[in-house]
Amino acid sequence: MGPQLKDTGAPAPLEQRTRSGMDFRLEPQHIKTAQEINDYLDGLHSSGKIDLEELAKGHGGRFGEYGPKERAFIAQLGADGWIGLATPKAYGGRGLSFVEQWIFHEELSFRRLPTGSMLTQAVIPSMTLFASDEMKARFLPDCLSGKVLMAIGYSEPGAGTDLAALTTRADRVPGGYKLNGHKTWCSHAHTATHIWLAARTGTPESRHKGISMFVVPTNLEGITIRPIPTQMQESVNDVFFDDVFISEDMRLGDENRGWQYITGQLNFERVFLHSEMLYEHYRDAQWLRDNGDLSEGEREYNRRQLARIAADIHVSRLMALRAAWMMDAGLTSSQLEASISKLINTETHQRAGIEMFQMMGTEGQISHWDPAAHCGGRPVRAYLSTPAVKFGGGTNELQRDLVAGFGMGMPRTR
Amino acid sequence: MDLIYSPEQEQIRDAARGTLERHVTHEARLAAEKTESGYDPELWSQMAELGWLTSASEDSAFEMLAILAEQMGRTAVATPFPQVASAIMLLSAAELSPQGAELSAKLAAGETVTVPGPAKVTARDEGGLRLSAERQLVLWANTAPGFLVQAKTPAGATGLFHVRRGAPGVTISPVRLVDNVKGAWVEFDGVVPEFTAAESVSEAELAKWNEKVLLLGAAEATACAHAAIDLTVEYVKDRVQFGRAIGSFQAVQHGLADSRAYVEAAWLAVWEGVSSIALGEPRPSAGALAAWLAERAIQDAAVAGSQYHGGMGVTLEYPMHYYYRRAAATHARLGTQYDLLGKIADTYVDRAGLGAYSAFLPAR
Repeated sequence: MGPQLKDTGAPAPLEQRTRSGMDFRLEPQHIKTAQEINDYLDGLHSSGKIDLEELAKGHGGRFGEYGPKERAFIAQLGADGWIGLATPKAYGGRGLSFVEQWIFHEELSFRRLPTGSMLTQAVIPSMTLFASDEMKARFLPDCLSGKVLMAIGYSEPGAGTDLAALTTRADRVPGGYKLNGHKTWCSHAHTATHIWLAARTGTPESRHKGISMFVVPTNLEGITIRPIPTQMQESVNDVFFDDVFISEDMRLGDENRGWQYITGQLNFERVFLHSEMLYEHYRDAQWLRDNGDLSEGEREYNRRQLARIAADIHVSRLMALRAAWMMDAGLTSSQLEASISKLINTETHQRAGIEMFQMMGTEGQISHWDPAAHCGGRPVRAYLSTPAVKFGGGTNELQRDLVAGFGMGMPRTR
Repeated sequence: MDLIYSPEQEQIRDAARGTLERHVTHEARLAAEKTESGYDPELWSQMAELGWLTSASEDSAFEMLAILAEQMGRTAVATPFPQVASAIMLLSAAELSPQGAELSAKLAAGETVTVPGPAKVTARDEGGLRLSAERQLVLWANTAPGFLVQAKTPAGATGLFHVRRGAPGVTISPVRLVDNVKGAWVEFDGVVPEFTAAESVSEAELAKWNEKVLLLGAAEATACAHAAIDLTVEYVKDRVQFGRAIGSFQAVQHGLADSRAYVEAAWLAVWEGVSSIALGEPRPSAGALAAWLAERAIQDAAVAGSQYHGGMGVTLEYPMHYYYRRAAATHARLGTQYDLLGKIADTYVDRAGLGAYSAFLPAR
C-alpha cells in the first residue's frame, strides 16, 4: 500500500474564486502532494522494493525502452495508486488536479525514471472522454494499475504528417472488423500490450471523415511486429495487420469519428509536455561546466550559453504548467498555446543537445553506448533522440501552420 | 495559482488601449518625433489625469503598471512615462525627505517630468555635497527639468538627489537616437544637488528597483513585438503576389509563427516576474529572464515583420519602421546579452539541480 492521499477533489471553478491578478505560485495542496510523491519514491528505494538508482541508470527518459524492469516499476506505481492522479474518482482515479499529475511526472523525470506518460497523458484522459461505459469499465482499471502498456498506431508509410491519408482498413465482418494494413514508426509496439490504432472504416477517399479508433491487443493472430533500428536507444517498429479479426467492442467511441479522438488525444499530449530530457541537460550541463580542463573564460562562456537554454527550459515549464492549470480551471488551451508549447519545448531540446556537444570538446564524439561517454552518454543519446520529438506528435512545421492558421487567422497554405 | 488576467485587469487593459489608440495615430507619432520635446503633451496630460503614474508608487499596483507599459509598447509611442515611473519607483524605495516626498507627489500627478539621471555618479564632500558624472546618455534629458540621481555619499550610504537642469556644472548636449524616443548626453561637474530626496536607499531595495525597471521594459518590448506581428499579419493577408495573398505562403507563415512563439515565451516570463513583485515575493533573476526573452521577441518580430513588408517596411509613411527601430533601441536599454545572461545564470544555471519543481516554482 502506498501512503494515503487526502482526497481534495478538483479545484473550485474559476468564477467561485477571488481573483485580483496573476499568481504563479503553487497551492499548498500541490506542494503537499509533491512532498508525498517524494516520500513515496524515497520509501520505494530505501525499503529495497525497487532500486531506483539502478533503474534510472538503464532508462533513457522519454526514449527509454519499456523492458521488464520498467514494466515492474510502472505496475508498482499502479498498485500503489499513483497512475491517473487526475483521473476522476468515478473511473477509479484519485480525482486530483492536473497540476498535481504534472508535478508527479516532473518528479519522475527529475529522477530519470520511466513515467509511462503516454498512458496517463494520452490514453487515460482520452478514454475517460470518448470511450463507452463498457470499454471504460473493461480498460481503465488495467490502465490505472499499470498493466496496460499502449503503443500509438497512427503513422503509415504513406501517411505521416498527413495522417488523414492513412489506408490501414478495418472492414466490417460479423461481430466486428477485419484489419489489414501496415503501421510504422510505432514506438514500444514490441513490448506493448495494446495498440491505440487509427484505421479507415469509410471509403478510401473519406480522409478524416472515415477514420475510427480501436484499442487492439498486440497478441492477436495476424499481427506481425518487426523492429526498426534507430540512432537513438529506443527501437521503433513496423506493425503488419493481416486479416486480423477484432471484435466490435475494441472500437473507441463511434465509427468514423476517430479524427476527433485523435486530435483530442494529441492536444492532451501537446499541452501537457514534460521536461524530462531538459532536466538531464540541466544537471549534466552543470557537471560539464564544473569538470574538465577549462579556462576561466571558457567556463564563463559555457555558463552564459547554458543560461540561454535555461531560460527556454523555464518558459517551457511555465507553458506546461499553464496548460495543466487551465484544465483544472475548466478552460481550454487555445490551439496557439498548445502548438507554441510543443515548439518551444522541442526546439529547446535540440538546441540544448547541440550546446552540450560544444561543451564536451573532443570527448563529445564518444558514443552513448561506450562506457567512457560523458554523463552516462545522456547528452549524446539526447542529441540523437531529439529529431523524434520535433517530427513526432505532429511535426513542428505542422505546429507552425496551426499557429499561423488557427492562432493568427492567416490563409490556408494547402 | 492564477495564470490569466483578472476581469478587472482586462478592463484596465482595454481602457488603456483605447486611450492610446486615440492619441497615438500614425500622424501624431510622426509629428511628435519632429518636435523638440519628442512627445505629445496632450497624451501626457491625459495619462496624468487618468492616474496612470500613481500605479508606480506601490508594489501592489505593479501589475497595473505592467499592463500600461504593455499598451504603450503596442503603439511604440515615444513617452517619458517609463522613465518618470522609474523615478517614482525609486523614490518609493526609500524614506523620503519633505522635498523628496513633494517631488514624488508632483511626479505621480504628472506635474513635472523628472527622470532618472546618469547611472554612474560620484559624490564628494567639499563643505557640501558635489556630484560628478562623466558624459552619459540619459533618456528624455532633452526636455527633463530635473534629474533623480543615485550616488554613494562619503558616509557610505546610497542617497537620492535631485539635480536641477540649469544648475551650474550640468552640461546637456543633444544626441539623436535610433528610434522615436529622445535623449541627450548629460555631464555633471561638481554639481550641487538642489535637494536630498532620501538620505539612503538599501541595497536590497535598489536591487528590487532594478528588477522592476527590467520587467517594465520587458513588458513594453514584448507587447511591442506582438503589435509588430499583428501589423504584419494584416499586411500579408492583403498583399497579393503571384495571384495570391503572400500570407498564404508557408515561408511567411512559419516565420511569423516562430515570432509569435517568442512573444508567448517572453509574456510568460514577464508575468511570472511582475506578479511576484505584486505579491511581495520577488523571483530571483526574473527581470533578466524576462528582459532577455523580450529582447529576442522584439528583435525576431522586427526582422520578420520588416522582411515581409518589403519596401513598405522601410518607408516613413508606414508604421513598421517604428517597431524595427525600437527593437534595436531595446537591446541598448534593457542591457547587454552578456549582462542579462550572467544574471539568468546566477539563478537558473548555478542553482540548478536542487529539485525538479521545487527549485524553480515558488509555493504559496
